[in-house]
Amino acid sequence: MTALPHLIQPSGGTDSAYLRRLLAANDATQALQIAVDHVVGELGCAVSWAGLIDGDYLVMGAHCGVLSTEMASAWQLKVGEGIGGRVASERKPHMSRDYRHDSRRVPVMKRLIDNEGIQATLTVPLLVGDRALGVLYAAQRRPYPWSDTEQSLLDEIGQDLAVRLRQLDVDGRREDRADRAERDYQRSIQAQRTAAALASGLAAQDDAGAALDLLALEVGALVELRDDDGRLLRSSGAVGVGNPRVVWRRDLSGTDGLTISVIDVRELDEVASATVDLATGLFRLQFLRLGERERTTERLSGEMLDQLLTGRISDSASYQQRLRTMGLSLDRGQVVVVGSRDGDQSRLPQVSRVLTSTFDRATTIIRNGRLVAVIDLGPGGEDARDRLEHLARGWHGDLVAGVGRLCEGLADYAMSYDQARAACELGIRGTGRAPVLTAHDLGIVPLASLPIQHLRTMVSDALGPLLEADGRRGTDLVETLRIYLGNDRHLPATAGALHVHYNTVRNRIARIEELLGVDVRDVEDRFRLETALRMHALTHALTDADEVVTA
Amino acid sequence: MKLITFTTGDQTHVGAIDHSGARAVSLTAASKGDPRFGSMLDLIRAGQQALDTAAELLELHAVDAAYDLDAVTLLAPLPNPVRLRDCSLFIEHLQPAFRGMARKIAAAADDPDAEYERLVATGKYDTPDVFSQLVIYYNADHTAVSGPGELIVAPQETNQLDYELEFAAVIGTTGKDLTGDAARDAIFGYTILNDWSCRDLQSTVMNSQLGPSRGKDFDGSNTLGPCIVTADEIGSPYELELTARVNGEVWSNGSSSTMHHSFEDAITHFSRGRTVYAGEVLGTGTVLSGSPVEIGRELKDGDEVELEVSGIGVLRNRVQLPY
Repeated sequence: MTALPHLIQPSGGTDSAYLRRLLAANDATQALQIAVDHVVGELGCAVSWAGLIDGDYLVMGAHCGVLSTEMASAWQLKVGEGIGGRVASERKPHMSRDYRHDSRRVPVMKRLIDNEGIQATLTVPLLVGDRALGVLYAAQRRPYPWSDTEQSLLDEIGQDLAVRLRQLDVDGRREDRADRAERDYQRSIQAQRTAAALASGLAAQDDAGAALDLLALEVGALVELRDDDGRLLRSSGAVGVGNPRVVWRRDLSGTDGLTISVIDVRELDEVASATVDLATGLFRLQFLRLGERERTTERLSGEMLDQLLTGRISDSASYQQRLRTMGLSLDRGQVVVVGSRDGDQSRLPQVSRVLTSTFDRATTIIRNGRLVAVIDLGPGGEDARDRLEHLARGWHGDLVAGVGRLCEGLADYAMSYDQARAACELGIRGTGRAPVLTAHDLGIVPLASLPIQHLRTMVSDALGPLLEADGRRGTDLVETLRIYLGNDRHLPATAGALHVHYNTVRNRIARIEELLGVDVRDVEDRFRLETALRMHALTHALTDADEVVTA
Repeated sequence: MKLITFTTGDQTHVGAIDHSGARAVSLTAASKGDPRFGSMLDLIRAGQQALDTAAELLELHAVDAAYDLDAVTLLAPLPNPVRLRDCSLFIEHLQPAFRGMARKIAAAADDPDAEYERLVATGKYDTPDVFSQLVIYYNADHTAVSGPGELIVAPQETNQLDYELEFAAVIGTTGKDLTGDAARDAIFGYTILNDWSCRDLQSTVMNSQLGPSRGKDFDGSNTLGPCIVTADEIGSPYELELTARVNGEVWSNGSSSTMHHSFEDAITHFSRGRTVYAGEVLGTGTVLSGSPVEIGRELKDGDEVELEVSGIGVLRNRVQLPY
């Protein structure tokens, strides 16, 4: 049988009765039934059926001329598979004159079709725009040479059907759009709330890194802050199951090469991306604000400085992270303590300004009547002593700077502070004449970090009888010994310095030797006495300095 | 086909990426436990018939055998190669790589330029002729295989970890004396290979003239992935673009058209009187400029390295460095 050309209207092939019936259909099933009935009537074919896309599958929508109940109930095809599935996914019609020999048939549907005795099919997609809603079949139970006219006719019936299906919202697209718009709206509101919460949360934070914690929490990913050398400064959050990748990465301008990366197992969507942009922007502002504050006031808070100078840093990794978010490293540095010989503290703020302008990354604080400076020398930075000596030329002899050891790690700063402090205190009390002194200059390196109680005990062990005699009889044996050894055991010089007679010195030395059981000509004894005298001076200096504070 | 090995929860699957490029189809699940799809090695050993079945399953699989590619964890497509030879099929890169290592060693000297000249004059940092005359290879550690997305943790004792931009052929046939078409047909497919290398350790141990050993055999030092593209799908393996990016910036760029020896040459050479096995992997060696040491750059802790080979995909890993 061939097509019936006289039935095909020149204007387009679908008659007005068909269109009226389609318009009268109340739901998709009615519209589909009207269409398949019309196909059988118009094309004079044995069978017609229509499949509608539901998720990944085409399912039976309506049929006409189908014999088996199994075909009516079990026919379904995955979109993209088999002939109908490909018509739907490729959105192109398909013609099969002898269905039994078409290699594209899906084995699982083969039995259904064969049971129906179907041997030739015409299949067109039901298209609205570029979207397929389903497929429409015309079929014969014998091999059949479909004509182009029949294919055009089926195509037009299908087009009209598709338009009506869209009007009936068969694919729930209107509802989808409304749902999506609502979801987008809710997400946008949520994102704004998040932004507001982030901004207000950060305004109250003194720790710039907290922005990263909030960000990690918000996007549910791993967030890392690294410096210019790739060193990990802070990380927050965790990566989920999957293949992690860097989904977002920015260098933060104005931060000396800090980089923030977000690591996740899938790409960020628009909302997450906007949240990351916002949070990192806030982090940068927070970082710069804190950095500026640190620069203009103090770079290390009192608590952090105390921990550093006393060596009581409980969590050094966290301490390092906080330092780095302030733009400090302290990988290499030094402590300097400056004090005044005449007790005048009024010049210390000025010295502080000079130090912070000379050393780019110096933190200063007035502590116990002394100016304490922690100088971050940076990688490979040179010992601060030379530059301090240059500065000290303008100090007119009244200021003394004690310089501590070079530090190569956080643990070294407490010792550097002890040395700087000891050198400064002894310098103020006249030990050493230069304005810049180190513990090494004064021979007190091993002593500087000892607790004062230990120093007192050791002094008492070594000089106890002298101290006792001085205390009981008002003598000056300790001072005599100090000046005698300081003048290389030269009697006239010692006598001159003490304003006493030559023989008096000789007698006192003999008395000292007797009390301590030592021989000052013996180098070992002299070494012990020199050390004990330095300890003695140190105990006095540190005790006096602490009294200044308490007062 | 683009074949993959992936996990969902506790389950490991052999699979293929579907035509959309966004779905991972489990051949293990779709075949309902067919032992040929128990592992990639099983599939390779099962030969062409298993590949034909895989192609059918990719078309006709049950809905629940497919997963979003984003929702699964890709492993090295062949996590347990029976052997891993890294060959010098590209030989142009050797001279700059040797010279780069000399430059690095010389940097520690008082006069680095003079030391570099001295080292070069020893001749130890030139490419020996044997590299162009024979297919030279070393046996890489086939137990130290990592996959896409894995964190590459450099050994504590290194101060210079490099990536190496390579790709590799996976052998699908066990046989001897494979020449001509047989050598070509012995190739199952192709994947990307990142031959992570600790240059400082490598320089030291290579003085022994017994290969790079400790410089290249730490845990995870051979990254394979993200998939194996079957030989029928790749077209010509000698027209592929190779690119390496670090944190998104292109560091290395090359083409497989510059290979001095072909994979077929290598298979012919290796199988002469000796058996090559299905499941072996042959790395190309590094393409010219395909490693930081050649271009005077160094990776930093936390960097993300992406190797891309046209027709195969992108192999992406981050590094954790002790320095």
